[in-house]
Amino acid sequence: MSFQCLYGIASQSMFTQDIRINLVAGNLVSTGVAAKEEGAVYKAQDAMLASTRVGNGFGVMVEDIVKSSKPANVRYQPEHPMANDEGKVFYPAVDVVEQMAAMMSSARSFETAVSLFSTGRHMQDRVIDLVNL
Amino acid sequence: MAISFTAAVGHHPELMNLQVERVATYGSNLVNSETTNYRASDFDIVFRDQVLALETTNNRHLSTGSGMRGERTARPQLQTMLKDNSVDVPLEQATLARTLADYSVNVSFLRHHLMTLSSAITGR
Repeated sequence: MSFQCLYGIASQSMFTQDIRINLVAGNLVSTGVAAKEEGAVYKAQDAMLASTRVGNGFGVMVEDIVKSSKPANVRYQPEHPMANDEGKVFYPAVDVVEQMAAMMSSARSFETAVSLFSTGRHMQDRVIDLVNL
Repeated sequence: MAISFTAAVGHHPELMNLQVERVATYGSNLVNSETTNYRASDFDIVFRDQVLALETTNNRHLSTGSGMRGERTARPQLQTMLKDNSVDVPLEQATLARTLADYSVNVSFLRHHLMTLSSAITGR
């Protein structure tokens, strides 16, 4: 019976979305973290998704986690303790709106996976109910 | 007269298996709605008698068999989408809902068959 396949697809998707939402959380909390130089600044991370075979169907998994190549945001704040000789402070180039959108999208995907799981459970319940005739 | 359970319940258990596989196919499409280069697939349930209506006129002829099988086909892409992904989420959800309704009907039929058998066995 391919109920196991269905459960496999749903749980793998949940796991993947969990990784994605953790990355988004990491990016969001790091937005205000200042650094002394360009190299030390936090880079936004994003998960690359790829489909994998689960039984007869296809699940989804994280293939790679890539760091953003956007240059850091430079602000002139001479009074800041992290300021360099020119009075510049470096902040991560994290687009908060983009991260919020990614968060919503991954939460939605998680919900889809949960509903897929419960669909499978209901279907299996109906088969089990056939025993109680 | 012996009652064969397989013959008594008809094609329903076979169809049930295929419908679960069908749900798994649409589920695969849904979870991959954000995967780069993913191509959505469809799952057709084909009644074999409709496809190969061959008669066996000699007992040395190979039987084509009856029953059903599932066929995985590509979903036609209706519009160009981001990341070269061809999953149309509302379409997948709608077909999934339809499959669930079909499954529900199938289970009801199976239940009815089993209840008929049950009353034949108990004689009431």
